[in-house]
Amino acid sequence: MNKEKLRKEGKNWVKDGIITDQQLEAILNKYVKKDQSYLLILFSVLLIGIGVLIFIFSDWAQVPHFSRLSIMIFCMLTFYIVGHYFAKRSTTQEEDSQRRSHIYGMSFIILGYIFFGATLFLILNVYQVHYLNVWPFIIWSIVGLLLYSIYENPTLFVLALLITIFTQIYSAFAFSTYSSIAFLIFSLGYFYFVFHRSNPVFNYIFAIGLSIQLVIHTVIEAPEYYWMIFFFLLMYTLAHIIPKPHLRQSLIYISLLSIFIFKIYESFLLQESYFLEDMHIQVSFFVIISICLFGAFVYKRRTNPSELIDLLLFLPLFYLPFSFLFVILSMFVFSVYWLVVGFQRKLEDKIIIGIMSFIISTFTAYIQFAWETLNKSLFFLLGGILLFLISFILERKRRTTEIEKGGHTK
Amino acid sequence: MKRLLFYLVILLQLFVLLFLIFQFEKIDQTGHEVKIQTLSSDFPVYDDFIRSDLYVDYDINKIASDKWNDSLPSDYNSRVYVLLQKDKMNVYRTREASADKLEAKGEDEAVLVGTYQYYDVDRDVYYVNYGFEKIKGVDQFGGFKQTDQLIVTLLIGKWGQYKVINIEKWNE
Repeated sequence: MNKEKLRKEGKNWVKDGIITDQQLEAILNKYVKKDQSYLLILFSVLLIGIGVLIFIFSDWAQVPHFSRLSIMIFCMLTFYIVGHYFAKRSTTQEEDSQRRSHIYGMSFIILGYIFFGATLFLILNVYQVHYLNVWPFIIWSIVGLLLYSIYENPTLFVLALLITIFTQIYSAFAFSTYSSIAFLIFSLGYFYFVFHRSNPVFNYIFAIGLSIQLVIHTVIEAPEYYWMIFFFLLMYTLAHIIPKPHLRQSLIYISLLSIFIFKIYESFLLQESYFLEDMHIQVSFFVIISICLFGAFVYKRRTNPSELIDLLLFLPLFYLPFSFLFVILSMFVFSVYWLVVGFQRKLEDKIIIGIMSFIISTFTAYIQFAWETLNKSLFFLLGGILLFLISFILERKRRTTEIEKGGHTK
Repeated sequence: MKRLLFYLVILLQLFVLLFLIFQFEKIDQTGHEVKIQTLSSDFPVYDDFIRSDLYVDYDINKIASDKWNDSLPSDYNSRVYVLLQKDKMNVYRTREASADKLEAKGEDEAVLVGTYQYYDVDRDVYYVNYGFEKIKGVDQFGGFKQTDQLIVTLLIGKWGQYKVINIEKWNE
């Protein structure tokens, strides 16, 4: 809790006679103000890193290539060794300077890691290597994993994780291929640490990264776009067997968000006649998705029947006549269900899901029907007012439930 | 223990970088020498000697549809294999192209790996990029204009490495 907030609250407690003045002082002394100076160092590391990367890819004026490479390698080694020295010193000192040394040490190691990647790409640039898959990125990603297993620094992990996700994106855009190796490193190596560290930032970045990998896999490898539904359903279902509650939650939320975004996209596509003509309906898809849906249904009914509505989003609807209407309808049913159930049972997180999905659904439907008929300025104006009204009403309702709920606990 | 592991990881990174440098330095000895012809630019931007970088079109960039064997490329930027063969003038020309792997048989053949760009319906030609369409520091090989037809001598190395070792005018 924030120290200032605690002081304010504490004064009320003293007034009410719950605690004495001395006790309040003792409690407040427990809360040391958090030192934010590491943020400054973090930003300096990031800026230097970005600066180096940009500098590498500009052609250094007339510097012969061998000395360029030696400078880079020398810098990398220096950063690593200095970083290691600081990190080692942090174990032999008292608390405050220990933390400081640790931050410096990690910053230098992260810089060394950035320099390693920069040198790798500089080599490819200097020797004019036209790489046809993402092998340099994969080396960079593996080195990040190795470094993290020695020095468990969250910033280092986030950086390496982002590089791994970017590897897959780059593979898709630059070579139109799906890199299975990048996916293996992501889903085995990085997942291991995400699973064991239970860090919320790791969880969400990993979940978003997984969703991106699935999208790329579908776009490049799958015969038809609708296999996306299957992959998101798989992600949603498999998330339930993960024993860590926070990681499970983030994977479920992100898979729901992903299928929701997919549905928005689908509702537009399904109105295009050329798209419908090109689409082939594969029996194998229906067989597999039915098995998965059935499995998820049985599992959900046993464990948490109120969440069965989630599966509605994963129901394939594209083969129906006027399918886009059904897609939008399913989005509305989902959001209205969570609004009603959330308010009835006072489930804060479900209410938020309901509000968000209701707003997105309304806006999707609004675009479908109003984009072509309305004057554009009127379109945005009405859309803005519509969203404002919805969020206003829903937020008021949410507040009142929160107060009621607070009243109950008192 | 941690310290030892850390130095091991640093050494591994150093080894990777030095290994790559060592491999790429060897191109002068191990690279396969290939002479290819450029097409003169249809739309010269300016008619002056080129000082630094030059973007060229080679004749091997355009591959007629009858050169392709059964496997045609489908996706933009997907990988294609192009088999080149030396002609009487010692210039390499396209003999066969494929989305599947091709092998060079003998000294006067070479296989390049490129990326498929697009299909031109009017000319019935597939465009393929190789990565050496941009030549850096052209002026070190002599004075050339954008309208010149050139013969570019390249060394083709491992893992997609290439090195421009000479540029001369065609029919000089």
